Amino acid sequence: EAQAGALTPPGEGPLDVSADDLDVFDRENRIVYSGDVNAVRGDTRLRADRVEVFFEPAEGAGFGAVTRMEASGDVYYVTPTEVIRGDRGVYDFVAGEIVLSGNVVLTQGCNVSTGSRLVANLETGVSQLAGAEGGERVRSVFFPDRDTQAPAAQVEDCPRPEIPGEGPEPFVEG
Amino acid sequence: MKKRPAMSLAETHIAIGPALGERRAQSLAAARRRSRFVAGLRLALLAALALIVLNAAVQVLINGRGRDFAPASVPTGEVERIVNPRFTGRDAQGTPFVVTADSAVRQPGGVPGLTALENPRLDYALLGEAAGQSAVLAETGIYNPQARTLRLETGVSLSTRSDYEFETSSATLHLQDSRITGDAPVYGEAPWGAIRAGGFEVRDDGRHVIFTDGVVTRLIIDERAGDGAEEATE
Repeated sequence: EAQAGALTPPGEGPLDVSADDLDVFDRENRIVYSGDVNAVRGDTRLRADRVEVFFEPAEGAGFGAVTRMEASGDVYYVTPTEVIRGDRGVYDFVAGEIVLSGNVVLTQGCNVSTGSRLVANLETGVSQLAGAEGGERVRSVFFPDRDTQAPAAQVEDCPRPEIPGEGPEPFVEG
Repeated sequence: MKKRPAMSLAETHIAIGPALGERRAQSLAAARRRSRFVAGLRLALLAALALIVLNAAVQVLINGRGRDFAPASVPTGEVERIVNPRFTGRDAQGTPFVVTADSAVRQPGGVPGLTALENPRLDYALLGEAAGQSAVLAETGIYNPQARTLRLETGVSLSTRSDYEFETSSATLHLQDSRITGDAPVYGEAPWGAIRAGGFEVRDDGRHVIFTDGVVTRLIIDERAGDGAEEATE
């Protein structure tokens, strides 16, 4: 297990989600986006093939606060400073925790780490990358002298990973 | 003049017998003729009565069927214009619905019963009490009583009892199986946020809503998540 740098938490404000289709299951307080899903909040973005959003039940009937988002299929968590890729991702709003699992690749500037499971606590800022049980270990490549470079220079030398799909669509008010 | 001698009763009977009998027979025949005439009249009267009753029944039948579907219809040239139309029915679960409008026009020769509506309204459980009978759903609509569909066009504004609102340019209410579909761009509001999509469908009595053809949503997170997070950490 290795400690990764503090993960940038999602910003404030509304959460805009775009996708090909959306299914709303009223009774289960659950909505399911499918097809090139992009969820953007502040300057952070979650991209996946499928994203389920769970809500607290409100009094009577209807939807309360968002409690959890579960992403699957080519999942990317993208912030201005890092890109993390995994097969699955869970963002627990209540616990303030992001977990990515399955072929996890963490890219921070020119530094790249791989493992099978990354747990990032957005409250404490502590992120841990773990290898597979009895299998592949965590591996990292660091470029210490690059860290002193200006971010722009880093990007030039180490382009960010390409993220599949069309990218997020902005939400246009009513 | 020589006086005839008085006849005895028997002789008088014998003398006037045949004349009396003849006259009685004649009057009997006349009486029979009269009673046959009266019987004939009676029969004619009964027949006339029967005809009148039959005619009345036929008139009621002809007019009665028309009145259910098109009350107070005012023919205008070739089209039939219905003022304050009202169409009632039930869906597959037996839930009643009432379609009303400012006015309705039925084209001659068109699909039987197909009626074009102005400012259509619908009182139906799926649309929730808030809508009720007064909410105009669109500028125009087409009601098909056979298929039990209400096609809405131009300025469509719908809401469901599970608090979803839709604004679009066209949508169809499938009253038979309590479904709504729309294949034009739609702006929707939901209990959890707002939606823009290329099309939508409401199923399962409003409990399953589908948005298609490119979806963009805005989920309002802040104030609610804050409450959730604080509760969790206290």
